[in-house]
Amino acid sequence: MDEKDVFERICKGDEKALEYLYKKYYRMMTKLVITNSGTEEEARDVYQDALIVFWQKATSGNLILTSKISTYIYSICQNLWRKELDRKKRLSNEEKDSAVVIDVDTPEKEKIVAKCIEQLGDTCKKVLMYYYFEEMSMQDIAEKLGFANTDTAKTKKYKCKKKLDELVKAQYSEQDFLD
Amino acid sequence: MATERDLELLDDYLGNRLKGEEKTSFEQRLQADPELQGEMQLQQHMISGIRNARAAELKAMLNNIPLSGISQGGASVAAKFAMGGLIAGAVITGVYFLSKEEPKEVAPATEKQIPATSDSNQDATSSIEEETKKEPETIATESKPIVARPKAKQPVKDSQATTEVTQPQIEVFDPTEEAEGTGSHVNQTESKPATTGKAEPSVTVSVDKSHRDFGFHYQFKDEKLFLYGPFERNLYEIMEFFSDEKRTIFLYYKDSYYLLKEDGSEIKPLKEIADPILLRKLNESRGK
Repeated sequence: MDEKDVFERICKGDEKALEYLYKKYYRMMTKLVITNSGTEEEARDVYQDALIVFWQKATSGNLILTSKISTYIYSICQNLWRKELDRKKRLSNEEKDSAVVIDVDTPEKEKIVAKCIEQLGDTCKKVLMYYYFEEMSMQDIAEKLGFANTDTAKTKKYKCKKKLDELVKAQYSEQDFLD
Repeated sequence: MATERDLELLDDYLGNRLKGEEKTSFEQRLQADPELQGEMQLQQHMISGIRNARAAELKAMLNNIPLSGISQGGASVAAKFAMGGLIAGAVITGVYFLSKEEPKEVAPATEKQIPATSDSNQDATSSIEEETKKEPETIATESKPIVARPKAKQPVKDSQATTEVTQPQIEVFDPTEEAEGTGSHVNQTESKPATTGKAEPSVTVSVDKSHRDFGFHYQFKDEKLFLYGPFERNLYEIMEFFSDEKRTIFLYYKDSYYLLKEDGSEIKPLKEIADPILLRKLNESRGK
């Protein structure tokens, strides 16, 4: 698989190509973090996050690659690790100042949404994920999930979103009632 | 209550699919309608929830990918290393005996080795060097460089005498061995051995920009390489070549190469390599 093939496959949402990339650059990318005061676990975490950023940009068609894939992923790793180091630094300062503001409301709502997504069927989840995360076109979603045409994909997306809407709204009002 | 049409517009708005006039008028409506604002918040939660769920799913998928091939790579890398050394040895011998009579036979043989060295990882590593000059524009760049002060854990190879590089017997440094190293020997700036590091050699580098007496010098001390001078971070590379258990180290900095001799611990001036054949080999091994 050459660079161009890999990128094309990634753009089409081919998870096997992602797997291939993951293995191929694992050592190189994790080394960046490990040699910059990170643990192996942190390194893996940063590399995975970077790959996911790359994947999301590529599948959504928002990425015009002007460098090698590895160069691009490496720079994402660098940025993510810098942010993580900054976060750690800030955290240690906050510990010293002991002035941490905790937002309880948002995580609670996120949990509710996550729970509702879990209640959807597999196809529904996939349709919504491909649409909102990968930002795939209806055509691509139809092809990937084996729908007859883009209209089927559109209808499916509409219904799934509506279902999620109902679930979340019901849970939210329950939550408000409890509050 | 938001209508179906409102929900559709919200969906397009949050997905950045509303443009121009349509977007402006929707934003105006949003500002004037608190109920619609509430609906937008809810939709935002849902969309970010879907995105988070997908990211978590992908992460779980990556976590389940067996890395045994990679982590066990050390052993096979070592074996490939040895194999590379043997091939390099054979090439050197061939070059030595045949160079006078059949120089053209030798060149292709060496040439054939070169593509093997351009292992994708090495390509990537060298391109990363270039990347420090032009980072992909889609990434939010931060001016602050990574603070790189890792713990030095050195599986240093026995420091045998350095090979004479000023001679055009560059076959000694034939980088064929690099072909199989999953981790390249062309170390990026301040690279240290991989923690999974098995057979992969590496040099710990420390830069001292403040030394008054040594403007552009180097020193090997306590198995570490010290560079004295105004070295810009991320712009230099340390290149290691192994042949017959000998290690030869080069410094690549701002389009020039310098031989780093490991004998003695005194501070030595950096002398630029001028030998065109050696330069060509070094350039090839950098994947240029």
